Amino acid sequence: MKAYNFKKYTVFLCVLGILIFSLYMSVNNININIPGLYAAKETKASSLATKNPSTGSDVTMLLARLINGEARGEPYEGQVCVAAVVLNRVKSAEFPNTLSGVIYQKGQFTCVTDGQFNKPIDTKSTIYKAAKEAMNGSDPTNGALFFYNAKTTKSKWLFTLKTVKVVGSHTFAVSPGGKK
Amino acid sequence: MIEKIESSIIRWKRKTNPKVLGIIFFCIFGFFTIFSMEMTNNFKRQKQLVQDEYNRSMYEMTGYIKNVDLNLSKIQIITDKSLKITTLADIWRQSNLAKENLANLPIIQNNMGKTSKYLTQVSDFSFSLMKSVSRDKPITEEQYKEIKMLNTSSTELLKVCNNIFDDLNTGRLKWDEVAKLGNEQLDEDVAISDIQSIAKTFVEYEGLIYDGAYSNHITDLKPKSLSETVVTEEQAKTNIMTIFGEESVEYVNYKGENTNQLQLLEFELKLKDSANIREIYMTKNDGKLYLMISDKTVTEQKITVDNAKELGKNFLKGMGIDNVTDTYYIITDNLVTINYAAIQDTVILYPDLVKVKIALDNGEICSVETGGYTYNHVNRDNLLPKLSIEDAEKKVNKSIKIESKNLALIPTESKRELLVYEFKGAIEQKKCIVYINALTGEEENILMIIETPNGTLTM
Repeated sequence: MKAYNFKKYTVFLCVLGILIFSLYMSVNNININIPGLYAAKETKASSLATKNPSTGSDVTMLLARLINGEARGEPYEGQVCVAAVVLNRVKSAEFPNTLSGVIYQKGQFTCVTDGQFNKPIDTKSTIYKAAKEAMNGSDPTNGALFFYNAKTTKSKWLFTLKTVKVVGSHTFAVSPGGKK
Repeated sequence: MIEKIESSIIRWKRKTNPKVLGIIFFCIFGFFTIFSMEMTNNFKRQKQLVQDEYNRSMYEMTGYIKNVDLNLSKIQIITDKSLKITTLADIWRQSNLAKENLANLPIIQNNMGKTSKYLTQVSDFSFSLMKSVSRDKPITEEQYKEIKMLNTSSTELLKVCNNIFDDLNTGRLKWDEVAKLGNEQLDEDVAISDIQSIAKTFVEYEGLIYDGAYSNHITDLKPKSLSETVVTEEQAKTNIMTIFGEESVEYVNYKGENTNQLQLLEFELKLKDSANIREIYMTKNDGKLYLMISDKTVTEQKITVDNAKELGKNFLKGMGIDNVTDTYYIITDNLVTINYAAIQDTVILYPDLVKVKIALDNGEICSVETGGYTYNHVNRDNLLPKLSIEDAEKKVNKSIKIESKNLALIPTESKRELLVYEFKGAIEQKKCIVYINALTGEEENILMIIETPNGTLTM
């Protein structure tokens, strides 16, 4: 065995090992806490166990978790807008008519698919208040049914929609047919 | 470093039996192989579980649509009232279930939005028909025409479903392929085009207008309180200044127009004595405050809810909304949200709602929402009951201890308005409100009141 070959093999094996190991971790949902690696700290309990600072039904909680997943870093108005889109969908005949139905609809909210939906809500954040505000009927989106991040979205179809409003990194839109 | 390890391995290799070394390497690779096979199997199982779920939804949906189609044909023939009611109830239930199963499938929204709308309206329409039939109102010719139209669509949809059903049974359709489909790139594949025809069936479907929450007229509602006068950006700015007082405003910035359901002008407002930046939406017609949103962290409660109620009322007066009464309130994070309803000649107009969020430390008005008021408020001209309040009271359940009674206007699901007597009372410590129609004497609705330390909820 020549020296350079051996070096190659070792590196190759190491990379393979790391790959398989990380695959194994992601398949079995194992998380290691390396300080500084994640900005938000994971706790063992799901976000449902986070103490709710406001009295509210579970429905508001569900809405708050969706805002947490989709618009954590957004301004307060942007958070209310995201919640308003969900509530507009509940009222629309083209979407499921329950809050959980809308939130869990296949492929509609990325945060539900990638698990960010289950991250605990920071108790100091404005998320509960934003969810409450939207539940009270405030709709700054003026009836929008879709929102997307113009920088990251891959769907061409979303860009054909009629834009109603842009807040932070989210664009809020309706189908081009008009006010549906 | 690697050279060092290498030389030590070579030294070690010389000492050990090559057979043992072979076995060790064999074991390591064997472990990796078994491990990756196990993972692949896991993945396959998970995938199969999801596929099975989709298949079940599809099969069930087809079954429900078949029944809806049958019942829609039957309802056109049935003459007996009670059979009509049970059949309509069946359509209501089965189309609702069909819709739920449809939402479970990994079909993209713009392919199934119309189908979903169709199923919602079939379900809601039959529910509203069922209600009217049970109140002895016959189905009109117009409604029969609509049922016939719905029936044609349901037959079409059933055909599509049967095709997909076949595709599934013969294994032509694979859900993960459907799910992977982008929004625009669709193949000529038979199975895929079958899925697409779910959307195509309803290209012509415009929707229904009927007495229900998902009727088409709901989305086309016009704000009744606004006139046709359009204001400029400057005028709207002046209006904001008047509401908040010119001397206390630090700046008002115009952010742009927002035109969808309502024509709105967006502003950003900062007051001198508050750190909050408020987002303000003024209506383009008449230049009235439609919505204000801001957030505030409030750590302690210094003023009472009663004080806040007064503050809110005064603020609304400044906006030009007087004659309101506070109805319910709820406290979240030391911020109280108070619902105000308009009053006309002692009749409470519940459709004309205004919601005001007030900070309980310094009484700052944080948010205002006037959606209900903007859409509904006009001077009502027929607020005269046909039934006396004594007669109406006789219709209320005898075991309810009535605490207060008054005349009110309540909104229905289809945004119509009903003149009712409102009886607030309690039954076995549970508080409730009973609404008796002041024209016909029918019991329209019952609300349960849930009192929490943070306010009252009605359900």
